[in-house]
Amino acid sequence: MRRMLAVLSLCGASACAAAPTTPTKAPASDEAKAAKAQSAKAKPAGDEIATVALDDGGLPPGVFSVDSQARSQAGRVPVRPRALDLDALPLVTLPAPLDRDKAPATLPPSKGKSTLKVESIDAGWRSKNGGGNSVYVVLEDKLGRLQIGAVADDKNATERVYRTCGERHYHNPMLTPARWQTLKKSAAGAVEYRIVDAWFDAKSCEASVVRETVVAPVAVLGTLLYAFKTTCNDCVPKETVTFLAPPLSQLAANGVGGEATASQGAFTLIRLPMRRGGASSFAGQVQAHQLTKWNEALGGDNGELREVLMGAEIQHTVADPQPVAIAYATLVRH
Amino acid sequence: MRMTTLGLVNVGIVNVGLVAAALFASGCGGGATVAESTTPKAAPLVDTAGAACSAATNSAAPRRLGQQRQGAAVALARAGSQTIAYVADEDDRAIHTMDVDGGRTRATTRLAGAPAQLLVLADGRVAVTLRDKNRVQLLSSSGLDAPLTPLCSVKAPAEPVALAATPDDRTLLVTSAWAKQLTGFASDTMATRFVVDVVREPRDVVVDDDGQRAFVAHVVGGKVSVIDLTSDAHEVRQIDLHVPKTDGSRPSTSTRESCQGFALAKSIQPSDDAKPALPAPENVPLSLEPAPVVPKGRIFAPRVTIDPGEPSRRSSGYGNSRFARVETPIVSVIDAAAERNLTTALIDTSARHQTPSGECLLPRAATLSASTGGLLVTCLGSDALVEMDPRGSDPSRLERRRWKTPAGPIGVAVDDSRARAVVWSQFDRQLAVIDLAAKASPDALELITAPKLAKGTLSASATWGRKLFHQTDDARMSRDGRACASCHPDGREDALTWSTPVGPRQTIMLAGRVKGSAPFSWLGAHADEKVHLRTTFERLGGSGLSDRHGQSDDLDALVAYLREMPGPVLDGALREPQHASLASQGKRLFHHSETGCATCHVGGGTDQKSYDLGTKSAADQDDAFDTPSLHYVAGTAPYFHDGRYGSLLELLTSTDSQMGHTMHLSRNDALALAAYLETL
Repeated sequence: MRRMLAVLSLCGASACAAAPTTPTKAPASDEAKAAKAQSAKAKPAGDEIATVALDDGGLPPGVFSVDSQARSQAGRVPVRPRALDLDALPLVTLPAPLDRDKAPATLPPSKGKSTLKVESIDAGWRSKNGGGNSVYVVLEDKLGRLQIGAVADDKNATERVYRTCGERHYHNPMLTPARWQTLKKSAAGAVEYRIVDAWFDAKSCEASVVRETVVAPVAVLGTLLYAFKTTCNDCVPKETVTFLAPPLSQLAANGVGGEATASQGAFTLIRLPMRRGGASSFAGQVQAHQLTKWNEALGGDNGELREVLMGAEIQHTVADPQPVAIAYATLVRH
Repeated sequence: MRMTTLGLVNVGIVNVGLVAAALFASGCGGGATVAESTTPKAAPLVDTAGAACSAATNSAAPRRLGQQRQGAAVALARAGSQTIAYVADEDDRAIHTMDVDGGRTRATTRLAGAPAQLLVLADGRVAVTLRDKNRVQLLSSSGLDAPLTPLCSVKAPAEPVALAATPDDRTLLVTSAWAKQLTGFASDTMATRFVVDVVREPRDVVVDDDGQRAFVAHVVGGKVSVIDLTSDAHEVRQIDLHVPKTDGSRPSTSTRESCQGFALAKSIQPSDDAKPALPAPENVPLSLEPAPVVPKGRIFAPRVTIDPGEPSRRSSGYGNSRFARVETPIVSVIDAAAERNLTTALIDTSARHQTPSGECLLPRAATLSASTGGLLVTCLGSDALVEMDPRGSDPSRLERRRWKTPAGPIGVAVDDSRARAVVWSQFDRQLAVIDLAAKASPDALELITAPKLAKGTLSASATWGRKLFHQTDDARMSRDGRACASCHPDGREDALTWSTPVGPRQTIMLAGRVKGSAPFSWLGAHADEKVHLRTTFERLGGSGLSDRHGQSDDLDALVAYLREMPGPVLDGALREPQHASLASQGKRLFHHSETGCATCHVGGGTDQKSYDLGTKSAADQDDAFDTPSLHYVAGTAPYFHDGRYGSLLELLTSTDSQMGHTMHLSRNDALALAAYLETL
C-alpha cells in the first residue's frame, strides 16, 4: 500500500502553502527514482548512523553566506546555521577607557594619528558671545563609533558627537576621555577592529591619542559578521564573544549566566556571555541600504542587496565538554 | 496516477493468536477496509501482571531500533535487515505492524482500548498505553506477519498516555493525563513500583541517560516536571519555562503564558563506535559546515507562548497584546544536568501583526535525528514535519526544513541508520516515510496507509470536524492562525483566563461536555453551538464558517465533532484505596440540602440557568453567569469565569453562601466533597 506524494515535500519557494492541501498522488518520475536509487546506494547497512551532510546552498564563500530558500508562505524563514568554531576566535583583553579623574592638565603629545574631524554647524555666533563653537565631532572612518566624555559604557557610541569647542571658562576639565572604535580593511586586506583611546581638548577641539588596540576579528558569516573573544582578570563570566555586524533592526540579545548586550551605531556590537551552564543568543535584521556602507568599508560584494535576518547562538550545558556555537544568515521573506 | 498495490494484512485476535485476513487495499481512497463481521475482537483486559509479562519473545521478533527509550505513536524496530514501524492507531484501537522498506502493512493487532503511545523494549516486547481503558498492556511478536500476542495488562491511573523506559529497561514509566501522575512499573512483572503526583496534564516523558531522573511535559502551565528516580521518595521538582512579555523592544516584568506542551525530546548520545565519520575540518571555511553536530545533555520542549491579554481590561477579541503576537511557537531548551531552562526570552523577529502562516501552533511529537543533527517536530494544523537546529536557545527560530505530511501528524520516529524518519498521521491514517538525506525531491515522502478495520468512534461528519478543529491558518476561524485546538488542546482547556470584549473568561473544557449542556458561553447567551461558534470566530477575527444563511457543511461537521468528542474515561483507573470511601462521603455531602450543591448542579451537571452570585469583576459587562456543568471539573482548574480560584478546595472554602453552603464543613468533609467532584 505504498503511495507516492507528489507535492514538493521539502518546502521551497511556495511549495508549502499554509492552507491544508489534499496530497496529490502521482507516480514518481524515472529521474526521481534513479536519484533515489543513487541515494540508497550511499546508505550504510546495519545500525550505524548515516551522516547527512547539509549542503551549503551553493553559495560562493567570501560573499554573504546567506540562504536563499525563503518561502513565501510556509512557516518561519528557513535558516541553515553554520558551526562557529570558538577556538578559532582570537582571545583578547581590551583596555578600560581612560579615567576622567586622571586627565592631564595639558594635552600630551599624540601617540598616533587621530581620525577625528570637526564639522562646524554654527560657526561664529557663540564665539561672538564669549562662548565656544557648536560643532559635530565626527570620524573620518566609514564605520566608526565615537564617544567623548562618557566613555564607560559604549552603548551610547554614535557616528558623531555634538560638542562646544573654544575658549570657555566653564570647561572643567578642558581634557576629557574620548574613545572611538573603527572597523575597516587593512592594507593587507584583513579586517581590523580598532579601539582608540585619547584625550579630547575642548579648547582646541582636537584629540591626542594615548593608545590604540587592534583586534583581527574572524569572519564567521562571509563578510557579514565578525567575531572575537574577550576576557579579563575579574570578568564574570570569564569569556565573552563579541560580534561585529552591520546596523541591525529588531535586534534582540539574551543571555543566561551573564548579560548579553547589544549597541548600535555605524556598526553593531553584540556581546554574548559564555560560561558552562549558560546560553546566549542574538538575532536581528540588516536592511539592504545598510549593507552598502558596510561593503564599501570591508570589501564585501553587494550582489543583489536584500534584507537579511542574522544571528548567533552559544550554549554550554553542564554536560557539554566545549561550548556549542552557531551563526546563521538568511534572506527575509516578504 | 499510479496503480495501487495489493496489500496483505494479517489481523489478529490478540487473545487467540494468529488470524489472518487478506485485505484489498485501495490506493486512491483511504485505506483498505475489513467488514465489521470479519473483524476479530480484541482480548478482554484482565489483571494479568506477573510472570506472564516477561514471557520469552520469539527470536525472530523485531528488536528495538537504536537506543530509543521514549514512547510515541509510532516506534521502530528491526527484524534482520527489515525496518518495522509499530503504529498506535487510536481510531481503530489497533497496532499496525508496517514494513517501512516494503511500504505495506504486514499485520494488525486489535486492542481492547485506544492506544496512545507504544514503546519497544530491548527484548522486543511492545508496551502500549490504552488511554480509554486506563491500562498498560505488554505484547510480544512472533514474526512480522503475525499480530502481536498479548502478554499481560495492568491498571494505571486515569488516562495513561506516554511511555518511557529506564536505561536498564527494568522500569517502565507511564504518565497519566487526567490523574496527573507518573507511575513506575517493573517491566518484567508490571508490578507497580511507585506513583507520584505531578501537575496538570502530563504528557511525554523521557529519562536521562543515567536513569536518575524523568522529565515530564505538561500541556498547560509552562512547566516541565523532574522526578527523582534514585530514591523511594521520588522528589518532584519543576522547571519553569515561562518567558517575559515584550513591551516593544523592552522585556516586561510579567511573563507570557504557555500551552501545547505535549512533546519532549532528549538529546541523543550515539555510542563512540557509531559516531558519524566526518571529513577532516582542515581548510573548510567556517561558513561551510560539512557534518551535523548533535548537542548533548539537553531536553527539548516544543510548546506555544501566549499573551491572553490583561483580564482586568476588556479587549476586542481574545487577548489584547499590543506589541507581540498572541500566540508564538517556541522550543524551550533545558540543560538536563543543571535542570535549568536555557530559553529565557522569546525573540520574535517578525514584524507586529505579520504572523507567518504555517507556524507550528500545535506541536505534538518530537525527536532528535543523529544523522542530520536535527530536532524533528510534528505540527498538527499545519500538518508538517519541521526540522529545526537544536543548537540554538530556541530551535523554533532555526527552522531548517519542513515536509508536508498527511493530516494529523502525532508521532515521529527516526531510523538513523538509513537517515529517514517516519511520521504517523492519525487523521489520514497514513505513515509517511521521509528520506532525510534527500534534497527537494517529490520522491522524499512515501506513504503507507493503514487498513481500516472498524467503523470508528466518530461519525463521518465528526471525523471531518476533527480536522477543522485542529486546522491552523484557516482565515474563516481566526485572523492570526489560531485553531480551536489552540485554546482547547485535546478538546480540553488551556487553563488560562482571557481578556475578551465582555470581561475575563476562563477557557472551558469541551471534550465530553458539550452535548446536552446548552445554553453556551459563560453567560448562557447562545442557544446552540452554531451561534456560539460564530461569536468565537468573530472574536478571533475569522470570517466564519457559515454561508449567509448561517449554514455550511463545515459548520455542521465542527458541531458534530464538538458533540462526539470523547471525554476522559475514569472507570477502572488505578486509584488510592481510600479514594472510593472518601468520594462516597463527598457524594452524600454534595446532595445534602444543607450544602445545596445539587440544587443548581443537578446530577453534577447544570440547571441551564444563570445567576448573579455577586462575582462580577471590574472588567465584567454582566452580572449573571451560567451554571457550568461539573462533569470533569477536577481537571479544569482554575475555576469561575475569571479563573479566580486555583483549586477545588479553594473554591469550596471561598464561596460559602454565594454558591451553596460549605462553611460548616470540616476540612475532612471539604476534602471528601472535592474527592467526589473528582469522580464527576
